[in-house]
Amino acid sequence: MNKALKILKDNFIYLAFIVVGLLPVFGLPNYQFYIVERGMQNALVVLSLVILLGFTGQLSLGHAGLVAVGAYFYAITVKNYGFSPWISLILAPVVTGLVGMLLAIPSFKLRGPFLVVNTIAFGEIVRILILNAVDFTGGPFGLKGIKPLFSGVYLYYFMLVVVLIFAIVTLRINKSHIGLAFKAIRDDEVAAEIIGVDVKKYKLLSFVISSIFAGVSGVFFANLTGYLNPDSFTFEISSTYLLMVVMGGMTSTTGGFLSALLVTALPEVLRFLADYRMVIYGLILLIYIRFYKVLDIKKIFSKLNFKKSSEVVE
Amino acid sequence: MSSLLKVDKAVKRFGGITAVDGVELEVKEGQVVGLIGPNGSGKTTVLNVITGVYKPEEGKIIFNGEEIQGMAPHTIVEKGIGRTFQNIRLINSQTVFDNVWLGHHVNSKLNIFDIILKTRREKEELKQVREEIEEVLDFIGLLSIKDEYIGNIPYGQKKILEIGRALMAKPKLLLLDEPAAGLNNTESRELVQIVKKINQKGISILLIEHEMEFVQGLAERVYVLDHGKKIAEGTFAECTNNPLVIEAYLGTGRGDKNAEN
Ligand SMILES: Nc1ncnc2c1ncn2[C@@H]1O[C@H](COP(=O)(O)OP(=O)(O)OP(=O)(O)O)[C@@H](O)[C@H]1O
Ligand SMILES: [Mg+2]
Repeated sequence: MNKALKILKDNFIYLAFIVVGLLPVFGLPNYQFYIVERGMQNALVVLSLVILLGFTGQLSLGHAGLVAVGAYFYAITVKNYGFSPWISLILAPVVTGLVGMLLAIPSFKLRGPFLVVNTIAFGEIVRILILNAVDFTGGPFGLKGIKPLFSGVYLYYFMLVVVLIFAIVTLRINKSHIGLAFKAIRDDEVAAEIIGVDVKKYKLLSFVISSIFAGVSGVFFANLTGYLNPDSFTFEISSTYLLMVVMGGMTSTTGGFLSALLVTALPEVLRFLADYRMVIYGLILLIYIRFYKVLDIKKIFSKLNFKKSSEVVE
Repeated sequence: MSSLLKVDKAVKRFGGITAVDGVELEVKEGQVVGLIGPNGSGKTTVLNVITGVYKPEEGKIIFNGEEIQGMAPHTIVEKGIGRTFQNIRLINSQTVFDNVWLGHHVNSKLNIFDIILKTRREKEELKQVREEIEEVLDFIGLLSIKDEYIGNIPYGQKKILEIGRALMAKPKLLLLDEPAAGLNNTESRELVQIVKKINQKGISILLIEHEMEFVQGLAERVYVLDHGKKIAEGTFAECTNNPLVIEAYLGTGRGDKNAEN
């Protein structure tokens, strides 16, 4: 029995993917289908935060900015410059990865709240740039008619496979010496450096990997909506990503994936409540956080790298 | 015997205090050298200056013929200097096994693509590292608790575990900051054996310790610090009979281990 449970637990991620993969077979109505797709797209950002925040302890509240970079890069190159969507799919995460490097630099010096403020500023700067670069981005009017990679159910399965691949990548990083270095930085970065971890290099790596995930998510967003507008990349969206990763247990790949699906779907499921919808939504999240055993909030906050690892080395 | 480590007139100040004041010290290849002195005399700071935690304001640190002052701590580990901490600094969220694994970090040849693609290189290195970790754990007597989380193991085992972690980096020189502090007599005696065996493997050791018997049994040469200055050097007997040393210890009245805790 125990053994069976363990096998189930170890392979839960595949089970989750199989279930999600079977959804189209049941012929979901279009809108619900779209919500599941958005959930998968969000799941990529959540995995990106599992690596950056859960493993490495670097809290970013600017991830919507990274998603925007991926989305707009895809849209602009495909629509305005006639790139093949496939080329743009490959290039977008490269570009977001490079942008992620810029985001990593402040983390070499800043910690805790100071770094968080920096990431918020980053997200806002990206949004304001998009808003003002009207010639490229359409500014507040947005970009319409973005050509997708696939249409319909093919896009769904393509996304599912990509998210699965990224989930496996996350799991592999978790179990590697690189994941261990990330966690050492999270728990005690001064000690990590002294025992041989190149802290700057690994922070950079974590930010870049995280940004690549977010960039791919941006491409999917552009594919799903076919329309981009700066309102989709606000601070509020970044906070929702944080909510998703916290509800998923911060370091859990499977938890993050499921949490992304649930938190994306919840406001839609509650739509019948009309005016009370957001109140109940908030209430459900509160109850969840209060009672879900896996979620030890204290522990989670202790992981946020808010407390400085002691500089006094004795 | 050639010189492995040379601290050459190193100075490190903190605001008004000169924690290390022109200290000169040498560890030759294969040696066990003791570094003693009353509380606050600058021993740990010497270690921090050697390992790159602080850059000395003056003076040089020469390791294996190369000046290493100012290098990043992780680079100095790569060069072959390992250390333990006076106040334990293990990664608490991880297991004994993983903490030792972390020590191997500087020797890993794998990059992120090896990890993501699970290359053959990755599988081979991992297999070898696993064996090495178990060997080290066996060597320090902690193999049976390899899957325990750090929070669940007693103080004495944590102290020894730090040595295991440092060994995984395959150092040429191991710096131990009060390894016997807080250990009971049995543990302390076991530790002496472990340190001896480490030294027999050809690893040189610089040992800070308040426990005099411990230093006496291990160090062939001893340096004594007081107020950041070297006040004596020589064999253990020479140092402990030196009037300056006696005064330094009696003067502060905090020389013995009990007073410290
Ligand atoms: N990071 C720091 N900032 C300010 N002062 C420091 C710092 N580290 C050490 N000092 C000071 O430098 C002096 C030497 O401290 P150090 O820790 O090196 O002594 P020690 O010989 O290791 O003492 P102990 O036996 O208590 O471990 C002390 O006065 C200490 O207060
Ligand atoms: Mg000390």
